[in-house]
Parts: sequence; C-alpha cells; structure tokens
Amino acid sequence: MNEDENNTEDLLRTFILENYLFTDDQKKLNNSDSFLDTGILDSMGILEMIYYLDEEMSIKVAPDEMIPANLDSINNLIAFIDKKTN
Amino acid sequence: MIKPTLIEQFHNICGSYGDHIAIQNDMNEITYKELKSSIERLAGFYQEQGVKQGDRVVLVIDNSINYVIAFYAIWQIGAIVVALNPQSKTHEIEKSINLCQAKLLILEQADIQKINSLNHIDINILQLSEANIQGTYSWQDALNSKPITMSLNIKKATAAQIIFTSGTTGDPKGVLLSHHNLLRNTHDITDYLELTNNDSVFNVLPFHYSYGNSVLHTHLSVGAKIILNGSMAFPQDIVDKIRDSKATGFSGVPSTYSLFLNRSDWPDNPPALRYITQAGGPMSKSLIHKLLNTLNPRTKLYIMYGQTEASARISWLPPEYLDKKMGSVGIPLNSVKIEIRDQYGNSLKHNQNGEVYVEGDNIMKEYWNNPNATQKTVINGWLRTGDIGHIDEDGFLFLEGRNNDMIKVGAHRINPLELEEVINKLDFVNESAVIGVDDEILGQKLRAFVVGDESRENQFCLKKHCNEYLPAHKIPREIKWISQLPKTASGKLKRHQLI
Repeated sequence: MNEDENNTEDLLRTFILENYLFTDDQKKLNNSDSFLDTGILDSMGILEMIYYLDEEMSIKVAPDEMIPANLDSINNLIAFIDKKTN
Repeated sequence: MIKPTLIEQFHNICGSYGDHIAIQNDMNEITYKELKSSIERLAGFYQEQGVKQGDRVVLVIDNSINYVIAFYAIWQIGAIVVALNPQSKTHEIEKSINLCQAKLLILEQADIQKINSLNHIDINILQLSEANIQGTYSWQDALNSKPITMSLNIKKATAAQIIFTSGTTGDPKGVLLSHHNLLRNTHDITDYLELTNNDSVFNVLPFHYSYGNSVLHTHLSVGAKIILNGSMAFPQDIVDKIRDSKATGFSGVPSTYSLFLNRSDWPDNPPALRYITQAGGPMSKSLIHKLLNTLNPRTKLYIMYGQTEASARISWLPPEYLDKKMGSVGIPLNSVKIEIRDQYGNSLKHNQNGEVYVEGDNIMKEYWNNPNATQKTVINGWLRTGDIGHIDEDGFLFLEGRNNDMIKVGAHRINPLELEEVINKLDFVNESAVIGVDDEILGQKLRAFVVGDESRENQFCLKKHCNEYLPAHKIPREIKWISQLPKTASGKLKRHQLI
C-alpha cells in the first residue's frame, strides 16, 4: 500500500469510527467488514458516505458506481477510490 | 368469495395456487403450499409454548421468508402479531414486550447480544438459527412441531395485530387492528390496484411498517409473488434487480423515487412495471412530474395516503387523474368516508381547510391499553388524523400539513419529544429541541439543538448516547450547540423559530 492509499484509509476509517461507531478504538472496525451486513451503515449512512467522498475527497460517485463492490467496506472503498483517481 | 379473515383467505389461495411462488429472495423461494405447511408447523410450536388465542407474539425480524412464516403462524392460532423494527434497541423491545404483555419473542439469529440482554424478562424466546442458544428455542426445532391445520372461528372484531407508532406525546402507542380492519383494507387496495395472481411485487419496504404490512397482505391475498432482494442503499442495484426479476409492481416512499431518479439509470431505462405505488408522506409535485416523465408507457403510478391507525390506506388517486388533480392524494377507498372538520368538530364545505377525519372498516379498534389516547383520537368511530387539508368540489382530498410537531423522515413519523427525552438524560445537557429540516432525498432530516457543556468529549458522548438508545432513523443527523432555546414568556418552546 502506498502513502496515498494509507492516507485514504486513515481518512475513511476515521470518518466511520467517529461518525458511526462513536469511538477511536481502531479494533472496532475491520477493513473487510461489510457496512450493511454488520449494521455499521444503513442506506442513509451510505448516502452520507457518498456526500463525504464528494465534499472531502472530490470523488464523484456516478449512479452505476453505487454498488456494494465499490462502497460496502473500507477495502472496497480504497480500491474504488484508487481506480477513480488513477 | 371473500373470506372473513386474511389467514382464511390465505388458505383459500393456497388451495388454488399452491404451486405458485409466494416469496422469493436472492437465495431461496417458497411456494404457497410450502409456506402453508411451514406456517402450520410453526403454529404447532407456538401452541406447545402455551400461546393461545388473543396472546401477543413479538417479531423482531428483517424482511424474509421466515418473517412471513412467523407472522401468519401467529394468525393460524388466533394470536396477535406485534412486529417491531429489527433495528430497535434492547430497551425499546423490552418496553414493547411489557406494554403488550407478550408471551413469545422471535428474534434474528445474529442477535445474540439482544437475546442475552433480554433473558431476564419472563418470556419464551425463539431465534431463527439452526442451533439453539441456551434458554431459547431454535427455528429448526420449532419447524419440526406437530402442525395445526384446523381453522379457527375468528370473529370480525377479533384483534389481529398491534403496530407501535410514535405518538404526539410520551411513549409509543400500540395501534390495535382487527382481522376485519386488515381484511377490508386489503380488499379495497387489491381492487383499485387490480392485483391478480399474475402479479409479482418487488418489495423494499420493511414489513413491520404499516405500508410494507399492506404490501405483504395484498399480494398474498391474491396469490401474487413477493420478491425480497437488496437494500435501498444501492439504488442502481435495486433497479437492475427489478428489471431482471420481471416484477410487475413496486412500492416506495418519496425518497425511494428520488433515489431512483438521481442515483440510478431509471430515467434513461425505466423498468417495464405494470404499477408503482407511493405512500409514506407527501411527494412534491416536482418529484411527481419528474417521475411521470420517466415512466415506462405501460406503468401506472398510484399516489396514496394513509395512516397506521387506518390499517394503512385511506385514499388513492386514480392514475388517470394525475394531471387534472396534481397534488391531490385522491378519493376515499370503497369502505372509507372522509370529512374535513373545524376545531370544534363541525363539518366544513368543499375547499375549506380543516382537520381530516376518517371513518370506515379500516379504522383501528383502539390504542392498546390506552383509553385516554383512544378517546382523543377516535371520536364516535371517526379517526382524527391530525392532518390538515380540504376536499375539492369533485371529492378529491388535498393535504396541506399537520397540526402537530411530528417530523417525517423518509417514511418514518417521529415525535421530537421522544428524542429530546433521550438527549436530556445526559448530565452535560441542560435542554434540547429537535426539529425537521428540508432534505432533498428524505423530505426532512433531524436537527437537534442542544444547550449544555459543548466539549469535544461531550460531542462524541452525545452521538454515542443517541446511537445506544435510538434506532438509526431517529438519530439526529445534525447537532447544533446553542446558548439557549427560544421560548414564550410562559416558558413554552417556540419550535418554529428554530426552523
């Protein structure tokens, strides 16, 4: 993982931990956890994540990109952002 | 011939369409015949647990085939269904169990934490897993019980279901619906939607909620197929699945259609559905226009209005009147009457705004164990909806707003007092007020104003506290710390000044 990806991972993890798990305990979130299956995010949370990607990371999510494979875990998000920015 | 209850109607349908698929999800499907067999065996389990006619059974289960089995098995033995939001927190489940003095609780298998926290309550617990956790019964064991196939002699007024809804004050209220309420409302809906056994509805609405509950019963009552698949978190995924499944119908709330129009390829490639329905709060005229402009030419859009206290549905707008009566929620159902009344209860003439009153076979019996609330809400058989509106010269109802502070987030009716009570429990909070503010997708979103000690630690603690005591849809999305709340001279909150 390069420096940019590390930075992306930190930003995403902090966003989820602070806003949805209400903790700074890094052990509470695995990068492979499905947000929906584990109940970390609901449909409103996924929308807020999309707004966050747009506002904080300038990543625009097109309708056909709004799928679990792109958005439903930290790992999926990192891969998706990597694909969008490269 | 119309059967006297929905469970008898279901058995009737199983006789005619036993091999048709009743429910389908991404992994499984079940025919009407198989569904009936599972319902009868689970009813046997309920009876072994001592559940009798009139007892309450609480379901805390996501939409699934098992939900439908668990629900109809309760009716099979004449007991009363109490379906709760699966996102409910443990203390909310406990409160509902105590309020309705339930005999049996049915939980998802993943809810081990919930099971452990509820074990101290004197109630039997069935969990939907193959192996049973100590002190509970497993789903597999329950389905091996001796079936109950006998039909019950259920009277029209017998209680069938309690649906908890946010009240205007204090604790949630349990809307008690009779078999007759649900049956008549179901038949009125199937009539105007012209539902048949050839239909298949793609359902994303939670069944525990009044609108989803009516989608379930209307489709099962005619032998149609219900498709359960996917989450509205991924609208494109849902639109793709609607197309792939060749569904004929879809039901949504305004935010569902807003998501489809803004976050999927629906506008360019709308699914070839026969009907779509909208309820769960007013849909703006601009959204209706946008949706109409993108519909497949064969798709009819049904705008509907209802309340949990009215079994679900009160009125519907015939699709041919969408242009002529834009903004209306339509005409009353066959067995429903609507009147507009002033503050003294006097009937008003056409085009005069007042409170919407509703009478008919769909109106609830009462609020469970709450005669005071019932007395204020059902006046001589007429339901006071709390909605403000008028009826035009052609008999079409137009809604203008509500006469209380209830907030509508997506399809959820939320009482700000309940949220304020939770927030005010924190030591560092002096007082708070919650309002609804406009939101592009959800119609409204929750904003909390908090007076208290605003340290970073407390901000964190407040969010954590809300998450602990409130389900996701009731957690304020925005929190603003202020020095004081606007109040009248007598100390009453001026809520409108916060908007």
